Order: sequence, then C-alpha cells, then structure tokens
Amino acid sequence: MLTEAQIDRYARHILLREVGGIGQERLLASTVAVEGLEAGGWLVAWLALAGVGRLLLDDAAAVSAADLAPLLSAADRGRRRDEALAAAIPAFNPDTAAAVGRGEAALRIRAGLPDGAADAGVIHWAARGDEAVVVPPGARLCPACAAALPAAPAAPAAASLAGSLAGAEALIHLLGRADGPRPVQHFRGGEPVRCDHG
Amino acid sequence: MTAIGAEWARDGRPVLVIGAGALGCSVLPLLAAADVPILLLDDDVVSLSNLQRQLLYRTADVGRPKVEVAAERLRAIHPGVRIATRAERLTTGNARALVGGARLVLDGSDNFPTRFLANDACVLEGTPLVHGAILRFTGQVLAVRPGATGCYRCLFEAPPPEGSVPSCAEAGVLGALCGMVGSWMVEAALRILAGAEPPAGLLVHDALAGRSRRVALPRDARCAVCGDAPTVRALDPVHYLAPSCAA
Amino acid sequence: MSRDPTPAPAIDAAVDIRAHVCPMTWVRVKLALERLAPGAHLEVLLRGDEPLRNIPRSAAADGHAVVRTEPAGDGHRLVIRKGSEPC
Repeated sequence: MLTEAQIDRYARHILLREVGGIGQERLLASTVAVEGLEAGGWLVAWLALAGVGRLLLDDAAAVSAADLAPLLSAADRGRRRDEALAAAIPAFNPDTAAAVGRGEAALRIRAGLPDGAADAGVIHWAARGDEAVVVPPGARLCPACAAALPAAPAAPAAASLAGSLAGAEALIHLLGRADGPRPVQHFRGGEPVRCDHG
Repeated sequence: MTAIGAEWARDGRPVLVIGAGALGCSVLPLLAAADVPILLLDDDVVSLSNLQRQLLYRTADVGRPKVEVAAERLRAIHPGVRIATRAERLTTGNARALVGGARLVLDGSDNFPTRFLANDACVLEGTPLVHGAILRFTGQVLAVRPGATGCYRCLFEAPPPEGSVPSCAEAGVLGALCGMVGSWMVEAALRILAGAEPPAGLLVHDALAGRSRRVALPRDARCAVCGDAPTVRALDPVHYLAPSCAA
Repeated sequence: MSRDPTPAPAIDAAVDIRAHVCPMTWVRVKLALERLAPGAHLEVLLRGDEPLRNIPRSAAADGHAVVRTEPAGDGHRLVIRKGSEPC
C-alpha cells in the first residue's frame, strides 16, 4: 500500500495507465544493479526519482566534473562514484535505498556496449562524444554502427540523453511493459541514427 | 537589453529559460556545462508531486521558490555558472523585453497560453526558440528560427479550448522522458548558438515504443504571426487564454 | 438533478475526495478502483465543478462507467462501476 506522501510524490506516474498504484508498488519493490557510473548521474537520478526501491551501485572510479549533474555537487569530486551517488540519493527520494556493491537484481544496467547481443535482464548504455546508445536485453547494436562510435568522452547532452533513455528502458521493463523485442536507441547530436549497414 | 541589466551586455545576452519545471530542470545543468549565461523564469514553488521528474529539487526544498533552488543547485554543480532568476510568469507585459534581451529562448512551460505567448514574442523579436513538451510517454521538440522555419503557430494555430487537451497533471508523464526532451532541446539550442542550423521540423518521440520521427514544418504563409499577412502583430491578451489548472 | 428511481447498486468501497484538488482527485479515485474487481461499485464523494467534470471523463477514458450522479450535502455523490482490467 502506498503512503499518503508516496501518492503525492508519484502522482504523475500513478496517473499513467501503464503504471497506476500497482505499477508504482512494483517499482518500489524492485532492485536494479547499475554497473559503471561514468556520466551516470542522469541514469541514477531517473531511477531514484521514479522510486525504484533498491539500487546497487558499482563503480570505484573517482567522481569528475562529468559525473556531477544532476545529483552531486562540486565538493563530491574525488570521492568514489558509487559512494557519492549512494549518499546523495536519500535527499532526493527517501524511498530509494542505494547501496554500494554488487548483488542479485531483477535488472542490471551496464555501461558500455555488449559483445554481440545483450543478455536477458541486462540493459547496456553508452555515451561517446555526441552519440548516445541504449541496447535493450536481447538486442544488439550493428557492429558497423558500434565501430563508428567516437572514442571521446560523453558530451553532457549525450550523457543526459543516454542516461534518460536507459532509465526509461529500465522503468518500462520493471513495469512489465516491454512487450516483445525492443529497438536499439541510437542518437547522434540528438538526431536518431538509422542503421543502413544492411 | 535594459530589462536584464548592464552586466549581461559585457558577457553577451543570456538564454531565457521559461519554466523551472521538468524540462527546465533537465536543460539547466546542460546549459551551465556549456557555459551559457542563463535567465530563468518561474513563479512557482516546489511541491512534493514535482519531485518525480523535476530533478534539481530535493524533499527538503518543498515550499521554496523553484528559481531559487534551481540556481542554488546549478551553482553547486557548476560554481562558475552565470544565472539570473525572476520569480515571475511570462506575461503579455514582460514577454517582449525578456525575449528581446535574450540570444535564444528555451520554452519548457506546461500550458498552451504560455507556449503561444513565447512563440509569438520570439517571432516578433526575431529571437530563436526551442520548444519542448511532454505528455504520458510522448515528447516533442521544435526549433524555431523566425523567418527561416515554421513556428509553433504554423503547427498548432491557436490555444486549444480549455480541457480539450490533457496536461501532464491530468494524464501523467514518465519522468525519464523529461531528460530526453531536455537533452534534445539543448542539442538544438547549442547548434543555433554556434551559428549552425538545428534539425528541421518537429521531433516526436514515443518512449513506450522506443521510436522517434520527424514531422516537417515549413513556414505557413497563412500563419497568424509569421505568415505573409499576420494578424498577431502585438502581444494582445486576446490571443492567449487564461492558463488551465496548474501542473 | 432528479433522483434516479432505479434500485441503487450495492457499494463495494467508498472514497471521499472533497478535501483534494486536481489532479489528486482522479489519482485517489483511480487507486480506489484498482483495488476492486471488475463489475464492483465505488462510491465517490466530491465537491466542486472541476471534479464533477473531470472524474467521469477520466473514468470513462479508463473503461469505467459512472452509473449514478446525485447531489449530496454541498457536493455530489457518484457511483462508478469498474470496467474490465486495462491491458
């Protein structure tokens, strides 16, 4: 049962036919593992704000400027990414328990592209230069498109786009609304990339 | 220019961000990361039901003016950010001065009268506009370069009758969609600010299906504000209905 | 509004939204309907023109039927019959 505060907080999700109170309770009961948090603040934010009940965060690298938006502050630079995000989340949403480490999860979100097709239960995402890619479970980015990705760090808008797309993909899966195979999401400079590699 | 202050003239005019709601929160950190000076407009305070999608706000911020909290968060993320705020709505009284003094306008407002007002002010002032909107699982983005492209009125003509189109307050919205639309808005804005052309037409994204499409939007010669014989030649309140129930 | 002379349906649950404002009015009704089986009846106490307009519209959009509308105190009483489950 949702509390009064939760009904208020999640009202805009409860109103969605695909969510409702039942879907929101499902999210609150879910665990998602996020492996790799480089420029991952947006992804983590969208999961936490939606009320995913438990997040397992794993990335020991140090927070840099690209990792700050939108949950951290400049003072967090140099801390472990997973620790900094886990510490920041409760102030944004007390319903999301964020812990550092690995473990069992209904869904895993992994930074970087899969070799071949993504495993069941794993969403892959990447932001390189101005390109944003999300590969849903079981899907595969065409090798030619993958090879053409720049080797540059993510531009902020690409990181935000990739994190948002991955977050949406995760919520759709957790809500049980991922009917059938879902398309790879690939954008360059904010524009959809059509794969024409045959 | 005078509406914003002499300090901006040295740095260049700011980008005007209309609304510190779901789309405003998503665009602000990206603009700050690009070192773009910002003027932020919103008269609302943070409420609990905002927190599912307005990602600059924490639980402890409920009750505080949005522009104050948004500026505070931006400064915490990007200490050198240049941001000025107005706890105001866009009105027929202030729109021309605000829009005229801006390099570009990003409109993330949540009601039709404001969207039309922002559009018309941009066309009349010749200021580029990037419009974004979100509803349920669908997002849309439109870049308007007055004189060169179609505008919001070329597409939607006039504010719809109250209650005929749901707002996200009534129909709901997927939080993560707001991040996507904000990203697309900033991508288009940065292209325009760099002197390049943004992608043409209306981008429509269905997050449930995971698919996007573009709808071409050439300038409509019969458009009431940017057409050959415009009837909207001043920001007369008669062109804008009262806002529907607030989100 | 004249009194409906047909027999009143048995009420399975009730929700009082008179203290709430849009859109929390429909949110509360929606949550109450979720807990009922298809065909069950929910009584809604509401006050004001806005929910009187919007609750029936939102209910119909979700596949439910408003089977009763009558004045009650300083507001209205609706009875909504839950439709079959949405896909």
